[in-house]
Amino acid sequence: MIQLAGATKRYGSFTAVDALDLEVPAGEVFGFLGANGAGKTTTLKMMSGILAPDAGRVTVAGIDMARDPVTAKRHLAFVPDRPYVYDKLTGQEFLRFSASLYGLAWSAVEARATELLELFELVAWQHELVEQYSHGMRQKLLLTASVLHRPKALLVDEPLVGLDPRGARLLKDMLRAYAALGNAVIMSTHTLETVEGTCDRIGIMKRGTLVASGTVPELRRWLRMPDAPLEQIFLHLTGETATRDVAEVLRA
Amino acid sequence: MTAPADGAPLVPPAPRTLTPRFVPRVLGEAAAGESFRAISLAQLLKPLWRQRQLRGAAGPAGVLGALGVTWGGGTLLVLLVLDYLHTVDAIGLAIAGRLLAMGLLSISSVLLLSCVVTALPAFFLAKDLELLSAAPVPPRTLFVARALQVLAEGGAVALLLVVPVFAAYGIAFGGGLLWPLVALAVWVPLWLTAMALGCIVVYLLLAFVPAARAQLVFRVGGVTLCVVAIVAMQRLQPAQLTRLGSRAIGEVVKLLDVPLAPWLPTEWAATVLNEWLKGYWAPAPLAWLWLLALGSVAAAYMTFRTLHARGLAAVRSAGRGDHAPSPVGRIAQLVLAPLPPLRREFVLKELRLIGRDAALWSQFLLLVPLVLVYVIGVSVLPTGTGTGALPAIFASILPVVNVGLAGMVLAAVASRLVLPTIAGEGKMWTTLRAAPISTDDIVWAKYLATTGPLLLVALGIVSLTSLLLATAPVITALSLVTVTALLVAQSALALWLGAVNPRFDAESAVNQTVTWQGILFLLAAGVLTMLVALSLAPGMYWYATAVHYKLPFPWWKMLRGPLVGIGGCLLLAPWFLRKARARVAALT
Repeated sequence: MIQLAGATKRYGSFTAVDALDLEVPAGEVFGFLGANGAGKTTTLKMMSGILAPDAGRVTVAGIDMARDPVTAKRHLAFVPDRPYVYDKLTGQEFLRFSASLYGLAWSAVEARATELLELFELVAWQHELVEQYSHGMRQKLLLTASVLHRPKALLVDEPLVGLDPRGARLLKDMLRAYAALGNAVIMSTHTLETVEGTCDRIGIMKRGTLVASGTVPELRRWLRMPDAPLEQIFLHLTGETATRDVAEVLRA
Repeated sequence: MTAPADGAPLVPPAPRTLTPRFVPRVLGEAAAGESFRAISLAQLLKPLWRQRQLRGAAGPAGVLGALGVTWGGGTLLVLLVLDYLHTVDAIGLAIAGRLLAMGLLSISSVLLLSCVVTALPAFFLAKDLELLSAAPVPPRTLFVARALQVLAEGGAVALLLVVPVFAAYGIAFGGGLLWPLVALAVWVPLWLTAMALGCIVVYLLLAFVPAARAQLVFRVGGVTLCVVAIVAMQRLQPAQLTRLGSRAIGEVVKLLDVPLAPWLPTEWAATVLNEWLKGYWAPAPLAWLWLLALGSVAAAYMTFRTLHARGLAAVRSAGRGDHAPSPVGRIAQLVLAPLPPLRREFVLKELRLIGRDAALWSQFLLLVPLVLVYVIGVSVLPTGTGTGALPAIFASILPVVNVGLAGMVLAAVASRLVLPTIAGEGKMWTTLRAAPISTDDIVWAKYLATTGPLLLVALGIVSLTSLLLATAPVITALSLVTVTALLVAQSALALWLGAVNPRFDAESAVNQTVTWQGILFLLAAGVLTMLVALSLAPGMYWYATAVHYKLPFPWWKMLRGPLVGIGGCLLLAPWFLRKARARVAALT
């Protein structure tokens, strides 16, 4: 559904993503893991067409993002980690605007929007200005907006930040259900248990490269760490260490 | 957990879940009728308009009031000048024509810089760009929406200036009923051209300049534009207007009528307008103006298609770069060393943020042409004691005007530097209030960090213009003290009004300038400047009289007026600061 071939992004002399090859098929939830600054968000932004790769190609549903970005983006939705929502619009007005962004008439999606708002417990807030919303409520509103046009690939960057436990559970269920309908879901997160419980496959990034990709059991087999928890696999692959004496650092 | 009073078992509310029917119905395949139709321009502009709508009764009423006062007062002022020129036989209209060309050039310089400054956030820094970039928005719709934003926001200042000029010329020289249409037909292409050129400059700059050096090049680009404005201004030779006496009338009229810079679009505009006022119609220069405008817009769109994505990527990495302490930073640390550590670090933080805020610096560039035009105007005045020297009465008025104009420039800078300083904290404000920092520390740090650099600007402007005017040292000293006192009060006033409903969530804190508090500040600062400048007038009169009749200086008569003005400012400043402190303490 979404494919990166040799995708590279440089910021001056710094290479944020280096010749990344990746394919996420329809029906799969793919999770990006990596330390801060590893290149996860840059990769998602290249996939969503916000950033043009300096080299390589991004295709969505077989459409080249560089050649026909408008058509490619019709099949995508991107939920950033720090979402921007016009705070002088009401929740419902924002959804109307989002529908129009993706070329849909409000009348065609209103009923579904209301159901999604009900699901996220935002119905009572739909006529309030977004400036009154908490961070979690904004996140839920953006998630609602992101599926209104039924994108074939849903890209979510740190989706659980700010969500209450019930909202987080609901989102994880929704992402799984959405993938089961034949769509691709690509998420970036630092919550390892979310990755284990939600993702079919994970990719671990380090300094702009994908150092490992596969299911958790595949990674365990590959690393010959049959009983290792995901945290240990992650630390092993990213070269980080969790063994430093924290108390010693705090005392210094 | 507390059980209900009636003893019933505690039952948690049923959690919302994805039911088997919900998933395919809400998330599944698209229903018939959900066909794709690209977003329209009106739909794209709606949230932008809503974000900028003025709220509260004071907003729209205040802005309309301020607009009426500015346009009414400006028209009256230009009319006074034109009425005088009307009485000058033969060359009056010629001088008015030349003045119109110069005015259009000055206003267009401001317009162009304003468009450059507005195009940067509109196309590259706006917070909603990520949302729009990820959506299937046709590039042409996005370009037109943002170009309209640049046109409206970039043209606002120029519109404030140009309307009184056109209105006064129409009234003074009998432009007739069609005059507004002629003025519009001339102004719109100039406006479109400036918008398009401003956008092209920004696209090129962000696409080809290494991200880490974008700020530096932006400043250099601004200075280059200013130099172009100066050269163009010199080509128009404003000095001729003060040195006409020795020429024959016919020669003067011929000299003034010939466009000195025929390649400038503003000269084409002036030709159309001047010919209309003389009763003729000049279609050729108007056609050129429109051709240039349409060509520029087309070029801007092509540049947008080619370079916008590249520029956006460059902006995303603009924060990367070496920000090691600079020599200026080290000097600031030394100067501020006597302050307690908390205040010192807070002031240094403010100075660093000011120094690294590209949006703020680009706003300052707007003011440079205004200052330059003023300084050039001062430099061509025949000062001194020769035969062509100004009469004593003018010599005594000039320092008053000088302080007044410097005060207006400072008010404009303060509205961009001091007024947004509280809003500039953005989301950090919550962290700041949670830290063990007193309100006094915050207010003083903000005040010192912004007033200090402003004071350097103030003293620089007054010293330079006093030098050019060959003002006596005692008058220069008095002007410097007066402008310092004025600045101390203006800055405190800006801090106070900036603390009234600051927009912590604005795209750029500089947007605080266009709120009703910003407009109120500019009006109040204008009134304060006028009163302080007028307080200098009696002293200057007694000084000029003493010089003229070679009498000893009547010190008390010379100083009592300025002392009232200076004292007033020094009394107002702490009051404004107390109000600012109260507002800051009340901010949550």
